[in-house]
Amino acid sequence: MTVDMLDALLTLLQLYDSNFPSGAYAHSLGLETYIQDGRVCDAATFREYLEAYLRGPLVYTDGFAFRIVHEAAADHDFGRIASVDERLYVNNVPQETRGAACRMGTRLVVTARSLFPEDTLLREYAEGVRAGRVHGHPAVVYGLAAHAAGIDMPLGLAGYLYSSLAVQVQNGVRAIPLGQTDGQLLLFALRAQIPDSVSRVLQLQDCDFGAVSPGLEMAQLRHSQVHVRIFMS
Amino acid sequence: MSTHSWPGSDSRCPKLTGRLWIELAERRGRTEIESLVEEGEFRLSRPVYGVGPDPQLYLIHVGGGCVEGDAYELTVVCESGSRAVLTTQSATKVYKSPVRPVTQSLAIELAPGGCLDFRPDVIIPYENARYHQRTHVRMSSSSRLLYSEILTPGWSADGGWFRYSEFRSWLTVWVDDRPVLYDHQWLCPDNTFLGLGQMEGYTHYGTLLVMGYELSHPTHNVLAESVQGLGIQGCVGLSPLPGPGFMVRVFGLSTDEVEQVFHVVRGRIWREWFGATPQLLRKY
Repeated sequence: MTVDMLDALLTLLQLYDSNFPSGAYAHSLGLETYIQDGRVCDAATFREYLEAYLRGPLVYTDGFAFRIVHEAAADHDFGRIASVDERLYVNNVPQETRGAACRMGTRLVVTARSLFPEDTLLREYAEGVRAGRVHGHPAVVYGLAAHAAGIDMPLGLAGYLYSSLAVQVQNGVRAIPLGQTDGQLLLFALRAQIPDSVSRVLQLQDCDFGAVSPGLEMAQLRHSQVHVRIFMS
Repeated sequence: MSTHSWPGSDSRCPKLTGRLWIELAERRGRTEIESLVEEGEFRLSRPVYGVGPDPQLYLIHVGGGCVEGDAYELTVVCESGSRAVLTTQSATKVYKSPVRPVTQSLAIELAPGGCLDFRPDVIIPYENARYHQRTHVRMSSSSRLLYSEILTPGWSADGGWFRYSEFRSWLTVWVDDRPVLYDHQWLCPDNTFLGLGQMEGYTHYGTLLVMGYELSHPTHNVLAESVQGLGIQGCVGLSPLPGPGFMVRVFGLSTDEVEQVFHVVRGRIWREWFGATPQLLRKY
């Protein structure tokens, strides 16, 4: 193993560590509605949720956006990156999850920028978020950061999908609640589906972007009316 | 940013099964059809005046339903100050189309002060049907739009639901040349389709879009309560959009349930916009 490969591995571990400050622990993205309704109540039902989350929004929206951003960064095409940011924003119908993505993206870009101070695209995106020219979204920041770190797109994408699942597993373990071992077993099972999800993202065409998972979106829409809430979305 | 950079907006089809172009304009306080182009299987009824925000216009499909490779194009332009209710004469039935999907493109252009209530009947895809619908709305922040869409699965020969192959709908809304909505429904019934995250046991799926309306928090709550009060078995979600406007999604077990929810929301909006109560359109 070369020094470069080790460096890429360590960068991946740092970016996708659950301690990386994204604020994702505060957002259930509809999971809390399912828990309150009793439809997610144990490891088996939680696994159904996680699989739907991976097959749906993580592939068609977040994962696909990550791929486009990484490719656009390779072409140094900030216009395309800003266009993805806008599409992500207007594709997100539930106000809470739209706001959640902006908040997480805004927070993440500050950290990513300090890790890669020389990267001009991250700088432009961070300045754009601050000035209100772009909205801010985690998929864009992670795509830019992975590119800045020299991480190949499919590898970075796999890491991004994994970390998105990992944080939801932690959210579920806290809120359902489940044991930590159950959480890790779920993550282990879901991890096995990530390579397939990566190849699906690689096959998507422009017109496939942002396909909605109706049930997940309904849970996100209804979250603002859920009585007892520990998550912001 | 050009609209052509948006997925789903490239809808040009060389040979159309039906094409309709309607331009509405306000003349001496009354909305009239300024220009009309009818081609192929699409026709427009004569405008009906005298009820609610008139005129009411009925889109007529002279064929019996949509078959493989059919392509339809509908353009509605509301000039400044004009308003209309546009509906269909009957449900859009989509029959088997395994190779080439049935496509429908709808362009809605609303000038400042223009207002359209587009409330088509349900879309029913039958066994092995593929349906692609592209809707593009261009409006100003002073124009108003009500837009609804209801999807209901057609019965198959063996009595099972959800035998259609694919339903896709892209809906984009631009207000004052800025995108405010890019909605993409892509339903492909498979073994996970009824499960968690997808249709969750429901059969009917509706979307109601209200643009040009600032949804206040109290109104949001009032609407949520009124809808709950209907006591339907379905499920309703509602959210403000960065428009101004808002979207309502409904899961139901019948067309009637979805329409009841839309009727409550439409009623509220009509009272505020027109001081009128929406009537249930009788067609059959």
